[in-house]
Amino acid sequence: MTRAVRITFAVAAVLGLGTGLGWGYATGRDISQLYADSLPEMAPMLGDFAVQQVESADTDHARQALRLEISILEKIELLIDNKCCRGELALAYVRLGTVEDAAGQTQAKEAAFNQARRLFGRNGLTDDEMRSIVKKIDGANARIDPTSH
Amino acid sequence: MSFVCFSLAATEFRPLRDMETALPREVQDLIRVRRQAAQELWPMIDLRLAKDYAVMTSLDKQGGNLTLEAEHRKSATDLLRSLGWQDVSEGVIVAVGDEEVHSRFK
Repeated sequence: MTRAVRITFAVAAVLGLGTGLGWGYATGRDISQLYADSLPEMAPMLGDFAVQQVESADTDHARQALRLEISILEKIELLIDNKCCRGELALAYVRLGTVEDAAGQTQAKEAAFNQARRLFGRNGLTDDEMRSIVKKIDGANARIDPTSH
Repeated sequence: MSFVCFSLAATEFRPLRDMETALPREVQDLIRVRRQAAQELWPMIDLRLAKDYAVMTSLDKQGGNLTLEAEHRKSATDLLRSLGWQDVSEGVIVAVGDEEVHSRFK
């Protein structure tokens, strides 16, 4: 199984994909090991997917991608480690808030930014400061790896 | 696929021809995962598939296999369109394929 397929399978398993099914992951223990092995790569892969959709897709699909990322990261936190994905989640909520803002959905924007603020653990952060954090991170990623998003 | 990408791939540990062999198998694996996965996950798998098809399009072009090139380009284009991408021009497919090669050989 290639790396990409292994990570995709691990993400799918988080969402309730039937276990086993000829993949050689027939037991709960195997699946747990799969999570553990794939966890360091899962969050960035989810983030890359969502960011790429925000950059290239229409508003509905961008929103859908960010909600999927958030939903999976929250499930991973519940299943594996309570705070493993906090930073990624905060960034995803800021991106969702930005998409909702651009779509004129004020209430959804406020809800997303409030979630991000809670996850950053700094109530005083303004929307612009959070957007700036995301921009800096995306900019840094682009400098480190020109193919990243 | 750009010259830079091919040069990069050619100088790395894993030869590009391995990718030619691995990609069709990976596509089959992803299609299998997709069949069993929750529907909400399909877009993520579809983007992975689109990237694989984009790389295969470039490899087909380099190999002069025009029929397969057209087939794989259509698969990549259809998937990206289904993901809400506004621009699914040939340039975008090439760029997606290049990025995927970069990310695998970085």
